[in-house]
Amino acid sequence: MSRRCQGVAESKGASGGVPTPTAERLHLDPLPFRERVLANGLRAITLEDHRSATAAVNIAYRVGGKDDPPGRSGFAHLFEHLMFKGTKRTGAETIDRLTEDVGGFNNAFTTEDYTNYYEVIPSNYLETILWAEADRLSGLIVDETNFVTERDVVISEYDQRVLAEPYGMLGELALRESYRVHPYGRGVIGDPENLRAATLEDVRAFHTTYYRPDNATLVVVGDFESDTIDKWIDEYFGSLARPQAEIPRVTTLEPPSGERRLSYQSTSAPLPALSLSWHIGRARDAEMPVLDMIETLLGTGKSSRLYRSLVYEHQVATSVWAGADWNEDPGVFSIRAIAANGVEFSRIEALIEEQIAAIRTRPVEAGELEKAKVQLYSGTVRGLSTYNEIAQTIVRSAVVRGSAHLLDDDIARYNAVDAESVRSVAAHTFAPEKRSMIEYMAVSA
Amino acid sequence: MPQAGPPRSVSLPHSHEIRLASGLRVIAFSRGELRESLHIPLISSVLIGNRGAAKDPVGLPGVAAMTSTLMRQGTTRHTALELDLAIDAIGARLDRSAGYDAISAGAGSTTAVFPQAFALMTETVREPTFLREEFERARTRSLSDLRLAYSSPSSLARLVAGRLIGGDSPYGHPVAGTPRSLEALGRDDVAAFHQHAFRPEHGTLLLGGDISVDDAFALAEKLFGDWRTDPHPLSDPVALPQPAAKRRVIAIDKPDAGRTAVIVTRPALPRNHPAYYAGAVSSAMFSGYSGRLNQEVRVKRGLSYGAGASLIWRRDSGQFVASTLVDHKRTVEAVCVVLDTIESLASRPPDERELTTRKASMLGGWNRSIETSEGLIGALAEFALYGIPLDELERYSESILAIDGENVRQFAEAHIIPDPTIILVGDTGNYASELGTFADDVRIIPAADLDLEALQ
Repeated sequence: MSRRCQGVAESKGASGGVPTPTAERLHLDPLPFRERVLANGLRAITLEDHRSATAAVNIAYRVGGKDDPPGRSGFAHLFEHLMFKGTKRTGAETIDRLTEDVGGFNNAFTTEDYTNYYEVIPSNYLETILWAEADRLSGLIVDETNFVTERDVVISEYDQRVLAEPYGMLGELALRESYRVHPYGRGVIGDPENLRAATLEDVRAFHTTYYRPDNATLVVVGDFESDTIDKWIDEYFGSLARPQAEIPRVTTLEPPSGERRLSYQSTSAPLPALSLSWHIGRARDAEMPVLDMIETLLGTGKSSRLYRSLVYEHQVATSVWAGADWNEDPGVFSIRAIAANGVEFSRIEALIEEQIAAIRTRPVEAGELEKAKVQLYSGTVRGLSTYNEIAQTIVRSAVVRGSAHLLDDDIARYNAVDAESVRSVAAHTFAPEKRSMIEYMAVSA
Repeated sequence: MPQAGPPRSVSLPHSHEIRLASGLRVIAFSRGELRESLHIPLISSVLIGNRGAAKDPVGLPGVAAMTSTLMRQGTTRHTALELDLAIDAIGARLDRSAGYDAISAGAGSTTAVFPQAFALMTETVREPTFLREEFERARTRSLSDLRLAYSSPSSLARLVAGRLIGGDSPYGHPVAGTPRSLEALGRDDVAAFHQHAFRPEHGTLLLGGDISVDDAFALAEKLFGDWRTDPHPLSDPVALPQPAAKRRVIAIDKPDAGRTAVIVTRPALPRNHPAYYAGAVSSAMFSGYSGRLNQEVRVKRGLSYGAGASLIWRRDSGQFVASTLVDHKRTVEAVCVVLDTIESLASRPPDERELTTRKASMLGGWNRSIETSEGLIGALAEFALYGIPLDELERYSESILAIDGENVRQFAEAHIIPDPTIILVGDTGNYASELGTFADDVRIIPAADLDLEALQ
């Protein structure tokens, strides 16, 4: 009896002074896609819709930075470039002409876990682009000329994005410090020395190993009829052979480590910066929605805890960023801050640790949790504005979490996060002995 | 390789409209109407005021742009920071923009929080405070943006082109103002312009997405039904016509420029002209990677990384602009190629094959632009602003497809080719002596002496 009364009193206390929970109104219908696996192992996910005579095609290969052979860092990324160089049946830039010339666009990107190629085109060109994607999966020309040209492009991309960018090296160093064993420590963009040492045979072997139908996820969203798209996918992709050899997978696990600290002198950074990271789990783990919530509370927008403390109240940083990796293998939670002029690292570190201590010990108040839920919900929904964004969301979940249907309940999982789960996940995630820190010093040139 | 099928068409949501008691025109559409399989809970809105930089007070270019910037920087209910926090907390966006013919404010968010996002947008329109300190901060930022624009040969060439073609007409001064006008204008000019630009009787509010038309109208009524504004607004400045086209070369000497920006330009037609579609297809012949200009300038001759052209459509008059960026030493060759390519539209009008390709590119871009509710609102806002019937949306594709080679030839001969103004911004020492081959009227002006309010 008394316990029941206590319960009532508590629930009143929790909602007192707080606006009606908006979380109840945060709803998203499951994306109505269809999924099938062809006999050769290719996974095809299609979502028919007719708001515009447009379609988005994404094809992701489950090969990313972590799958680069030892001593050959940058191979996955190199293929992101080679895939545009022409096939046995078409010339270079065919995909560019088939998209840009009809008012569409295309691009590709490489992550730690996968390489994704995408096109957005008028829907009457959909069959043509499906043919072209199947064609470059099966008939890509990997010759010395293309290899050398694109290798140099990748190396110059490293120069531009890592060496010349003021904070380009910070992310690379944070990865190296966080992973001593797992290949995530090598990054995605590629190591110029490794790339220079590579041979055409290495590159061809890599292509044969990973570019195959049973390692691909094809996602098509937009203006088509489901019967027709099935027919096209069967016709152009269904005929591709499934190789016998097994696809190698990374099985390495990063062992727990003690606290790490590294100082680096950057000649390109105008202001010093600080990076802190802690190991977390995989994107498909049950804890991930809570980590996404912690990321939002700490780092999303000007109302976030870190922005308010470091940038607004104490003005020790010009910007601050927080993010939880969303990876196939266990990732890291990172916080990065660019220092305001003349501020000591120790002061920034202390203020970040103050926020870390707060989220580990004190339960987040109902109003703030509510705000974070609305922000996460809005971010998720607004990330579905276009056919291509929808396709990329599906691809990412299908490849990184192994299932696109996990998307159906993401919002429900966010809505279910409570103050206690935030506190307890923060408490074990941000243990001081799990932390690695980079002090990125700016050496004035 | 399988060939493309015929262009497909989809059913677009119908637009519905009402006029509120305050006089405000409201246009709404609902995604729910089409019973699409995909339901994304997002709503967009925009309020356009039919007064933009073309109505900047005489001698004060930049007022409209400054007004649109400052609306976001504080209202009677929220300071600038509080507005940022409020928008951030609901994961929404508040936009504003200024052009020659309109300034606008918009809000977009998920359905769950749209009433809050829309209320914040309404505040920025109805109750901005235009605090002096925010005004000073915005002025400093605008001045540094201008310095950046003046330092780039391509953006400086565009500003010169706007001035030369617009002359003393309402389109002859830069939207962003000039260093002189930004120094001259004050906080009160902005407040007065705001009263002038945002008025129910010449405004249009558009809402669309995951909302019923009735709910959209009810929300509009709730927040704008009682909208009253100053009964004595500014009067519009007297609008002089755009000067006639004239063959000439204006070279701005900027010895520190890395390359020379080349622009070939002339006056063009207003947006609601019946030749709009012929014009749109004609300028598309030059545009994109496979368009004629890029083919001639980049692909065949390697003169530049890219070249293209566009028609700018406005309420009273428009402008044709072809542009590229080249090595100083190849400037004369590049001008010849650009002029010849423009003239080729009359001497060698596009055949069916070329038309099909360029139209596919136009329609592909158009369909992509109306894929989101935000994009659809953008298209409808343009129709509303220029007095074009809203159901033009459904005729857009067929109107483009109906244009043939002869339409293009005629349009080019009348409105694109004659009497080009050639503008060069770069190290003119490399080619100044050769410019007489392009026109009798050749002027070379040091960049330091350039006055974008007086140049004729």
